[in-house]
Amino acid sequence: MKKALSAILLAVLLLSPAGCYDYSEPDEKAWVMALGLDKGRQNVLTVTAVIAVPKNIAGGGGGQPASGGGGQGGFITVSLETETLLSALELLNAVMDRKADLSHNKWFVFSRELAEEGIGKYFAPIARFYQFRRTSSVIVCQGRAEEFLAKGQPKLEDNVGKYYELMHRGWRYTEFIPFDNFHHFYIKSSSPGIEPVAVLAALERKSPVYETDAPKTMGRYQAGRIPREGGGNIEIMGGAVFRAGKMLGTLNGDQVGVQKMFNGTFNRTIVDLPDPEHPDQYIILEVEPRQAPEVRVQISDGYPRITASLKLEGDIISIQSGVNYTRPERLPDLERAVEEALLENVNNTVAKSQELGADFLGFGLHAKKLFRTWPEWEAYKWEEKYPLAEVTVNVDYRIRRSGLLHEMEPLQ
Amino acid sequence: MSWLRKLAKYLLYQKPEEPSTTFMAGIEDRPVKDVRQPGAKGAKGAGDKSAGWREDAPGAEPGTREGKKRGRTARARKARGGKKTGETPAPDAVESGHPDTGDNGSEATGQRGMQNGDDVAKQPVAGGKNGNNAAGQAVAGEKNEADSAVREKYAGQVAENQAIEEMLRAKTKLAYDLEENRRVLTAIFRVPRNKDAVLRTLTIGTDPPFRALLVFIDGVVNSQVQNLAILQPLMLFSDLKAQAEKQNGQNGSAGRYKDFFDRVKEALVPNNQVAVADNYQKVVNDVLGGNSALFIDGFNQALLLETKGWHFRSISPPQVEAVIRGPQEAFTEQIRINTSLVRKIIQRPALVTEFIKIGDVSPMQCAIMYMADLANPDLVGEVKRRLESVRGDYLQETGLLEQMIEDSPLHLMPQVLTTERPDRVAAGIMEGKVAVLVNGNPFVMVVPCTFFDLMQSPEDAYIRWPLGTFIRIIRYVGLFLALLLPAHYVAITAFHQEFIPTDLLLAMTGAREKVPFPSIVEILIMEASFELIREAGIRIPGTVGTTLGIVGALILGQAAVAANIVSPILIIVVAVTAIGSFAIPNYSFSLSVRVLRFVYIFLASLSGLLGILVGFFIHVGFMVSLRSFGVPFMVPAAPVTGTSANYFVRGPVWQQETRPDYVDPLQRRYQPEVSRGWLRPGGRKGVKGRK
Repeated sequence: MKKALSAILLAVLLLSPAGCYDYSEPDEKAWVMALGLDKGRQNVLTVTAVIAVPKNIAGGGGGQPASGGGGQGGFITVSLETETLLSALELLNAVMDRKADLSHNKWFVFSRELAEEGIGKYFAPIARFYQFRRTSSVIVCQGRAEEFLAKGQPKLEDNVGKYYELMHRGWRYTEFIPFDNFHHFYIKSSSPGIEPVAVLAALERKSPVYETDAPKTMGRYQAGRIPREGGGNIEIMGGAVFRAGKMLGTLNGDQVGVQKMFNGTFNRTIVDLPDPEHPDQYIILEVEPRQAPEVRVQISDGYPRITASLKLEGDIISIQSGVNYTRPERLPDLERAVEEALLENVNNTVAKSQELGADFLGFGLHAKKLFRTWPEWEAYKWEEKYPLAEVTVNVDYRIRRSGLLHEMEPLQ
Repeated sequence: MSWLRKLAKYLLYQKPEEPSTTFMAGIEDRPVKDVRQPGAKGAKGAGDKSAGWREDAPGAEPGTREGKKRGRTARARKARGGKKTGETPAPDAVESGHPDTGDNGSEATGQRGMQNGDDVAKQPVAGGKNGNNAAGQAVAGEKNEADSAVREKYAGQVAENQAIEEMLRAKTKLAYDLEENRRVLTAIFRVPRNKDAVLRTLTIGTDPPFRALLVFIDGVVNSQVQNLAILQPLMLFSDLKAQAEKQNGQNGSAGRYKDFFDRVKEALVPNNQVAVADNYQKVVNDVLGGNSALFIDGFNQALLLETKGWHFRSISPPQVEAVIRGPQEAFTEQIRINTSLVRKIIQRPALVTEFIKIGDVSPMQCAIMYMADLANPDLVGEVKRRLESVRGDYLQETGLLEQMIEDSPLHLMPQVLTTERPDRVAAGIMEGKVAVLVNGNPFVMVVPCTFFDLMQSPEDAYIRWPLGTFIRIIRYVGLFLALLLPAHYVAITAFHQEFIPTDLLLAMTGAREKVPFPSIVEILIMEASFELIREAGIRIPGTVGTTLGIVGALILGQAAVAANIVSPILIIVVAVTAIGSFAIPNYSFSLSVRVLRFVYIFLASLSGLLGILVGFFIHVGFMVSLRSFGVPFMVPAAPVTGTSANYFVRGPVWQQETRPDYVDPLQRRYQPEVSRGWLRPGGRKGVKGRK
């Protein structure tokens, strides 16, 4: 009896001071799937919250699951004018019956206008407040975030949260979407030697703008400029380069790909290579990383000299012209062509980073080891020296597999 | 803050408890005064008291008692005297003792005689007797009851019953006179009323003929054996043999036997087991056990002849512990068959079966089995000590006896392993454990028992070891689900929604929209109805059993969801929990998990995962401090002791070379290091150099 009593006593004593007392049912909460920040109309900020409507997503209580209705009804957006991000949460409870909860938030969307002014000060509460998860994505949208979120209807899903998550998950299989989620964004922002790249997003243009029909690589586009008809309302491509919490410029798809190659988050991409012998035809190759890039940094005359080597490999997917490049003696020709094409991208990107003065390629992380102490490294002021650095990049590409066709015959 | 320190001390360290002193056999000599001093001083006080009692015991002769006790029954005193001076001739004892009730022939007169004559002496007898039976504070209660109206009304009958009881306990000797014996037995078995006991007179057909009496209980004896092995040889052939011997000129046959009784025993009863009894108690116990007692006129001894003919269930497949590969026979209710089933597996002379009589009113047969060359004698001694000390009127079932001998009755965990499988018992015995068999129950206890024993099934060993390991892990998963899944459901849905993938969360939220109850109420409703169904399923008569399935499916099914009482995901949680609890092989353990599940649900609803963690901490603390016959419950995990790779997962059979360390067996080694002799010597690492 004594034992039982002491066990009960112990349980009560241990639990009552530590207990959370916040028992709450999931259907008593309003699940915020994305937060958008704009410059305010009549206050500092316009905060837009995307709140999922579960009954339309799950089909409440044995009823018909929502057929989507073109995604209508899967969520609602609420825009509030407030001073700070979290005060919007308080206001939200005035307009929503359920308590807003941010623990399933997927996206932080900043309007480009706000981002260019600087969004570093909004990161503090996000990094500190327990409801935010650091796996959320940081999105910079062209135009107002309010409109972007309200019109960003999912086409395939009922669940807007899943839509947001899958949209950004494209970083795994395309080179055009940056990897940095909030956690990496925050870490990179707060450490010298590397700068973050946020995801660039935009609503589709009202009417597509078509330029000339001259060949253009697919990676030269970025969100908001993709010529297309149909599809979802939202596009994600390219990145927004930040330094010290301020957006400096945008990257197109190819440049994001190079950034990912140097950051180790590049998984694969496809290169359309003009056939060296038939310039109007293409050879399609897959490109994958072979090894981590080799970066050597020397400091001469106070300025860095950077030598980098990108090691890549891949397979032939298609040769339009039917020229038999798969012969062992011909493969090096192809490899050299790919290297040249990639090198052009790389050089563009490096030039862009030096032009913006933001080392988003992370060369600074390799330079860091030349300094014995942290104060020495900080005193060097990498971000000031980097734009004047001499950068030499070498691309090493190998073809591993020639695809299913070994001996190719041109079409008769 | 001393309570806090005490609490912490309790949790962190538990002083090993002193084993309680050996049971006070012969408690009837205990002065009631000592007992009545209220002893609410805890275990230590009780220990002192019992020690004090022991010192007092020699002095506690009737003469030194005071108060009421002084007048305590010349009868009892005489009986005790009879017991002490074992040489007292039996007829004397009978004459001076109580069975005079039998003399009076009719019971009515007997009762009246008692009431009239001995009334003063009787009441103390009652008090004394009660004191004898019950130990400790129970005495006070019983004494009060002694004054109840019923007892006063039938004081004569009560006194008569007590007189018989007293005579049996005192082991009164048999009489020389056959009629006297018959009278006493008539009284003991209440014969005119009781139609089961048969006292059959016969004449042994020798020259000269002897009068004899055969006593048995109808229905429990095998009448064919009686006819062929007792009555026929005694009545028909007894003289033939003597004549044959005479014809052969073996005149010395008379000299070969001490007396006629000896001759009957040695030459005339072709029965496979014969024993000689000289007191009523032994006769009565044997007769109740199905033997027949043969009294011969002029001898103060009885022949006990083996004629057991109990009806019992034949050996059938296990009902509770089914296996796919492995022997398909289970124990039955007959203890002799059960011991033989074990002996069939362990055919070694060191396997010892000891019988221990337990209980007061109907002494039952209880056996312990162990390997004399393996089992730790301390363990065997402890088991015997506990069993011998148990007193009670009805302890015929394993479950009842288990509760009398387990270490910590307050714990939910079972502390003995109950099994109906002879192979499991044999395996335990071969590990150095002790099996306790109870007559009339097909379940056998194996002690000591650890947590890991409760989670094992014999099947694990009978299939190949990787598969055995797999199913054992599955079983632990089942344990986790049965114990903690509903609690986790409550904790996560109510406190930690960020755990749930967004898709699932929105699906759950959407499904819950129309459910009026909070999750905790939902899950309590469902768990309670599931427990209800399970309980009803066991109690329901078989003929209406199918109804329950239909009704149960409605409650735990789509209907509950359609009625918006519960959310659909909860049905899955409850169903998985149920399946998990069915995967626990031990029924008592499964029951304790069922109960603890509700504790965990409560804790989870109080403070989420933290509550579950705290509960788990306390739970594990309790389990670690628990002991089964001196062996820590969580051994060999805590404390760590050496053992073969077989407690958590199942290791290969050829690697199980030692017996578990925690039973400290007399022989450690189970099998040689190289148990597969066909392997090339030196072909294995570590075997090199061994010839």
